[in-house]
Amino acid sequence: MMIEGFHLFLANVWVVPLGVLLGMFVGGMPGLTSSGTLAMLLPILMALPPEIALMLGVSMYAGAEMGNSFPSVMLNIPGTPAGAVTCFDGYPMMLRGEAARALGICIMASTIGALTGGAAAITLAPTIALVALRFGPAEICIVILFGLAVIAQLSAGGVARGLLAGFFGLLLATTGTDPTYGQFRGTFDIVYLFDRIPVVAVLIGLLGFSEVLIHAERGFARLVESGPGGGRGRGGNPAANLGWRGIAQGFRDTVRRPVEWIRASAIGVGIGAMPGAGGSVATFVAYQQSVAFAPPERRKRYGQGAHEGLIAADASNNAMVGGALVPLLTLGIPGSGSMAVLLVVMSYHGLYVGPRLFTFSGDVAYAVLWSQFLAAAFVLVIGTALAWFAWRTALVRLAYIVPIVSVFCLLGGFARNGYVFDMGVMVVFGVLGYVMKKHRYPVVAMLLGVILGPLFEENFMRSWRMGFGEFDVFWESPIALVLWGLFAVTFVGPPGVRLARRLFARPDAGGAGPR
Amino acid sequence: MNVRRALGALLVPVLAVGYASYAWWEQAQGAYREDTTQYMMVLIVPVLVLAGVVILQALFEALRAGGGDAAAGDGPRGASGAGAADTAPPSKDGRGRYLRPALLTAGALALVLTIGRLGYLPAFALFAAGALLAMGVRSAWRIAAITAGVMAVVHVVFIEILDQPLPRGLLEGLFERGAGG
Repeated sequence: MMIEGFHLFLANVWVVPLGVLLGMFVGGMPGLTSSGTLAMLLPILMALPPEIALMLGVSMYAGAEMGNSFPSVMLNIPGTPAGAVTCFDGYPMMLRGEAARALGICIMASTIGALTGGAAAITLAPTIALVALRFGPAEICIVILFGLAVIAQLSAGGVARGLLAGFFGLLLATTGTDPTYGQFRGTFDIVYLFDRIPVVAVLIGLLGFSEVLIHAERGFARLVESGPGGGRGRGGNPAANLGWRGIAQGFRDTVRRPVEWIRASAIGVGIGAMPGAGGSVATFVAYQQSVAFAPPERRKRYGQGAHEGLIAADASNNAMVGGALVPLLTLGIPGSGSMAVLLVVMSYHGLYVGPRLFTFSGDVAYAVLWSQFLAAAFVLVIGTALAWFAWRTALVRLAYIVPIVSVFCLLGGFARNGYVFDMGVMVVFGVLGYVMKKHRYPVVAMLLGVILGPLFEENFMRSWRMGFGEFDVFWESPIALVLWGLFAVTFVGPPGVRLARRLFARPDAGGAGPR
Repeated sequence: MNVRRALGALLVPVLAVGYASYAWWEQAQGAYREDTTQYMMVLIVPVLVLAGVVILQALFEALRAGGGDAAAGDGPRGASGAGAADTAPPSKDGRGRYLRPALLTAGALALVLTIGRLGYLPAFALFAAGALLAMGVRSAWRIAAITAGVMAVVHVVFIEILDQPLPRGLLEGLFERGAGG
């Protein structure tokens, strides 16, 4: 069946580069998501033969997960919610004059992630599906709290500000219709908020528009005035190290850190395989794990252009695509919005949805799995070609960038729902993000709360009901206990170690000051 | 300046307390199910506690700053942690520092309020031209070229290709595509 699938894949190979290119375009446009675009393309996908439709969908998904890194790195505007984590370290690298290097890291990490995801999906599909299904609602809640706590811990303004931003985000995410009973909450009687707070508008406002406002302070300056080399021109300005050389350096930076991409890819595959968890959770958890495992001196670099952070974000993001295919193809459960669209395509074409897919239509299933490897190769080729043009944005004067990016922020806010109201939400959250950044509140913690709030609520309520109104359910299972253990180690560990060092440090141990 | 900066940090906790209080009041007033209310309390209580802590921290910082501690200044804004670009780049000239962001915000809000009547092309053209002027661009042909380019991209990508229902306003009927919005 695997060989037949390979033949079917070869016969329709042309659709993969098309899907990757289309996906990169979609991923790079703030406000457009791969799931939304796949939904818009549903009539076309239904008209195509199932293997072509599914290969196109998966290639688009892979392209979009890479494409969202371009605006994340160059403009601090994530193309999709999952791309928000790429901004953490990609954008500071760009500001440092290492745009091409950052894009090189994104491309290589994405390619490796996609290859790992593909390999995992084709070999470990049944095993991964079984493990992922053991993650119940309580465990997903703990994973989300875990991410929030770590982001808060990294906040320059202190843990209290980070946690406040995170819980405020979770509270804002309750705006709209109660998912359990259908009652309206926190809507101020505004009809546009009845659905829920527009996440994409909030995302673009907090990350993108707030950054535009900060850059507006600088007037006629350039985004990157000078880099490590100082001055402009070849060899001096970081721009000279851009182009192929910078991109290739980014490739090397990624390949030299196998631990980072292996761990991030594994997390991406695992979380992608969890039905309903999605790419946002995968990238946040991979980033958080990268921080947790980093030595204290390197940990300080996260959020300021750490290569490891960027690798974690992009490798997990793309490995997640392979992971999300696992429950779709083995159990008929979509792991993300895009996979839900593909599930519709599968059932429309009469493919068996569930564990017997590999028995009845194994060739189609394997053709889709094989297509991921070619998609990964095209992510590398097309991504590199696009990166060669993209880094030049860094050298344009802010006076020209700020108005243009503002227009795209406004359009990005509008694009998802088609409401002018959402543009207003984007502006309001842009100003809030501006104030937060000025006063050292981590906007990312708030963003995490807003993005993952509905998932947290849904799983929290489900766990609570499963536990008959008792909280015991949150520490009953072995997986939950392991996660709480990790939570405690990550959150209490570093201050505990610092305290222990201070307590047990000998007074004559060479002075207290930094060397 | 330092006192003002420290007090500026109060804005976020004050907003959080305001929203949490509204959510609490709403839950108390409305006929919400018990478990919905309990879930809201799981979020509201930490928000109120943390906001209290942050307000106390900010007031303490303000008191210290008022006492002549110049450590804060315009701020060690570099160490952003996970906030990525929490760093606000230093301003070159003090004059336009807050004026330009304020003008940009006002322009964006004006666009949101008028786009329904004006339509997307005039609204975005006015916004782009105004923003370029606010940012210090004085060359008329550059302003015209960039504005025209932005309008062309908006129309081709968002209307012709993506079929986004941007409001047509004054241009109703001029283009076949697009909806009323």
